[in-house]
Amino acid sequence: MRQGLAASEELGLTLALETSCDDTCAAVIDGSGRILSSIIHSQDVIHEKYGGVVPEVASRAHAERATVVVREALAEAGVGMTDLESVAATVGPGLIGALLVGFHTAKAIAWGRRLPFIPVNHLHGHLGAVWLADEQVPLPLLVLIASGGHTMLVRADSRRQFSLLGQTLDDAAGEAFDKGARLLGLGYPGGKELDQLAERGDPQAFTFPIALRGQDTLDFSFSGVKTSLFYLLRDMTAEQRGERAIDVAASYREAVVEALVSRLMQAAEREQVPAVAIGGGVAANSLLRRRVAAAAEASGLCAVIPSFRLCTDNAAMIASAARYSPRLAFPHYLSVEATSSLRLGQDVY
Amino acid sequence: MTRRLVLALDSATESCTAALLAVAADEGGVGEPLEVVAARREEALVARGGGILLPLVQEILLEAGASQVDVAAVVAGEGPGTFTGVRVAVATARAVSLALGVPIYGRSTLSALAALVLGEAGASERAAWPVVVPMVDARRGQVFAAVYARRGSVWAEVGDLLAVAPEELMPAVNAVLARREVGEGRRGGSETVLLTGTPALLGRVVDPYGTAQRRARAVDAIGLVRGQGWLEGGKAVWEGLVDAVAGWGGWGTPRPGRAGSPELVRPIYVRAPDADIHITKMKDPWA
Repeated sequence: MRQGLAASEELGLTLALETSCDDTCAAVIDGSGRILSSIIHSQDVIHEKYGGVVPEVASRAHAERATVVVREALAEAGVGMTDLESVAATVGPGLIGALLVGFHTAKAIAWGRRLPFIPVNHLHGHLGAVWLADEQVPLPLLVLIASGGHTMLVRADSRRQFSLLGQTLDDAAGEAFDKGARLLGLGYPGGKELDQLAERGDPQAFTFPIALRGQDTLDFSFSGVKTSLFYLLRDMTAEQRGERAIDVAASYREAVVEALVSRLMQAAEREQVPAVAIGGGVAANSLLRRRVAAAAEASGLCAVIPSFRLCTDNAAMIASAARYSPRLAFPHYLSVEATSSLRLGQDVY
Repeated sequence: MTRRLVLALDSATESCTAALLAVAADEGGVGEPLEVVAARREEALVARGGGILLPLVQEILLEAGASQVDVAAVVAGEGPGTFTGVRVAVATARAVSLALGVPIYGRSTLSALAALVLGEAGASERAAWPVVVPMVDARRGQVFAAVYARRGSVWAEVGDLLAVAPEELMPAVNAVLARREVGEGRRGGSETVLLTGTPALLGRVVDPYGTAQRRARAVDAIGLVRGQGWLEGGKAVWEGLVDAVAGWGGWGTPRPGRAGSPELVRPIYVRAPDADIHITKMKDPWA
């Protein structure tokens, strides 16, 4: 075991940073895991003109704001630098230039205060959000993590032990929503707008393919449904695209959500778990939240549906996951570096 | 008794560098009231993303027999250089400033190069250098460079920062100087231009006018403090640093015109992100 390494849930007052993609986040949680503050600076407005997250642009925006969100998080929590007992940060996976800003900021704060430092796997952070949402959730637990960058089914046997049951073979679910929104002319990122539009439409008006349906796999595929949306809209007149947008959105959302929920419930049955949960930005989708709750209830399972702010990227979930991640004592973390590729269950050393 | 220290750091170039300075027991010549207590410079692979910066800082702190609480001010090299390296140095310096509640100052990485050669030169050498041009690697076959021209006993930065191929540097410097001279009603001339940077970069500069002198220097954090008195604006920084190590408080109680919040120190990129050049505006995908 690396020198200075300890695993402990006793981190005391923890400051956490998260800058793995396009949100600059800082949070403070106390020793019992209670969220004292969670600041999220979204970069949506910055990336809107590019139609997607541009890594260098995201990195620059993080560099502008990293210490700003830290100061806001401390102020909102009503604590000072000298009160902190540990510092955590997302170490990966994510955009490397973006990760480095939050990681080095957090590491330098830990150095300055001579505090323990906890590098946190971003994927474990989404699981950490589940523990924040429901401290008592029974184990083992099945978690669907779905965002713009990830779509995976994870089995958690404890708060430290995870196994990957399935994942997307191509696009992430959030990518399917954002690109679908773009085809529908809903702007960027658009997933939320598509969700709102779909609420008023007929989900049976159009039929979209659900990949790998009925097959004995827990993987996902979303490139097909995206392509069929493209062809459907391409073959419409501009007038039709406007008139039928609501029904197209509803049918498209139905297909993506059905693919996610059916796979989650298929896995729950196979694994014989008592509980299911969702996380990641797509977990903010209103239909997904309703469907998971209903399907879990029908199967007699406990369902954890975290609040919107805990689903999308945030630093509170990183602070939560830090409680179950290896902790490095001062000064044994100074040369630890962020990494763009980190698998589920993997720590950086 | 432990001394109160200035921590200087820079990771904008392939030199990852950190230094600790303290008020000199005997104040030296002009612009040198701070002496180096400990310093390190390592040639880092950029792929390491600045990961060696904080270990260097820790090493020099131990070497100085000091602790974090002895750090009374931070000064960061703001670039230009590699985008990631610049961000690592600025993020680290800001975070240290925030964590320790001490003032932060920023100076350009190019100013550190110019200050190093000016600080180390003798009076007669300095008198022979009307123009100093520090440069760092800008990738893509270019260098980032600044033009400092002597005004009285200090060198003032003139024109914008340059991002040019080394072969184009001297014409670009002359163009900057020609504009300055017209603006000041002075006659254009063939002044000596002291170039400084790594030997590899200096070797690539073409000198069509025969006015260039070359002095090899790698970026060193020491130059963010030492020798800054020869540069316009640099003197105010070391005066602030001396104030800080002499016992003045943190950035929470800023003085007008001096240190403020950590965010006042900002990366110098020179170039816009590539995406701004190839921007694809969100528009009707079916238009």
